[in-house]
Amino acid sequence: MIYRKLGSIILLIAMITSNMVIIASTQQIGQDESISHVKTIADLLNEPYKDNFETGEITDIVDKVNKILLTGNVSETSLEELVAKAEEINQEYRDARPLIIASKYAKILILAISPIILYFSLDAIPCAIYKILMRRRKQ
Amino acid sequence: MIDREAKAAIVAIYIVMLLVASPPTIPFMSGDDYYSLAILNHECKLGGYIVTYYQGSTARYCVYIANHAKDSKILQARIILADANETASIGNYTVLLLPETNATFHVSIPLNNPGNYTLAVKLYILEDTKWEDTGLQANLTLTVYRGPGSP
Repeated sequence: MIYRKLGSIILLIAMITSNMVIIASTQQIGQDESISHVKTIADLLNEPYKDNFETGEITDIVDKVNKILLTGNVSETSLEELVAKAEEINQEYRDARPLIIASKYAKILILAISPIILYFSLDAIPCAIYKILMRRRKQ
Repeated sequence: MIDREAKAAIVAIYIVMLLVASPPTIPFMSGDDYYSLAILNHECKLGGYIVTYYQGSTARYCVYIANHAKDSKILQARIILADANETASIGNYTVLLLPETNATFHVSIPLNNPGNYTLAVKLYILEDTKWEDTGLQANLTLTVYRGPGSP
């Protein structure tokens, strides 16, 4: 009984300590509008970039965002413009998404069935060549 | 006709080649998330660091950050200059990085007092609304000498 109580106390202390460590290692961001804009851009461009959609335009937007962040010339209007551009790309991506997903799965399907095609073509191709050659010889 | 063993061998080689080549094609076959951080010299190259300075001069380095996560991340490099007595924050540099991309930027550190310093760069990541320590840190030890004309 005593051991059980002792165990639960130790567990409680461990939980409190770990929470304190987590709180200490994280810092609350203030009401930083620019960071929230950057986060919005990141969220909007994440999926299109992963599916290789308009990669050039996406990297261009990200470069501009980083230029603003690193130079410190953070202006709300320029970031808002970039958010608008990111939204545009995201919308275009959503419209084209069914096609992108279909092509992705088609690629996987082709990769999966290609060994079977190879297996049968290994016999079929030499056979076909042999038949053509024999036909020519007969002629 | 190709005999059975030869056919099986060809197909087996093909499947192995397919497995080796397909991870970049198939998106779900990627590894864990990780990040990279490095201090580079004033030319943004590895090695050849200038670590001795005169008082009043400015140390110039580059910081390299890379995102090897599956998603876009907002990363922040926090530059700290510390000596035996105090720690001073030089600045925080925030970048947005797409998956498998990196950023390099210049940092300037004014060195006003002689002594031995540790230049530390810590990498933080924005998770929801909080900056979390990634645990990555790069250090460089600097020595600042009293300048020829200084008192």
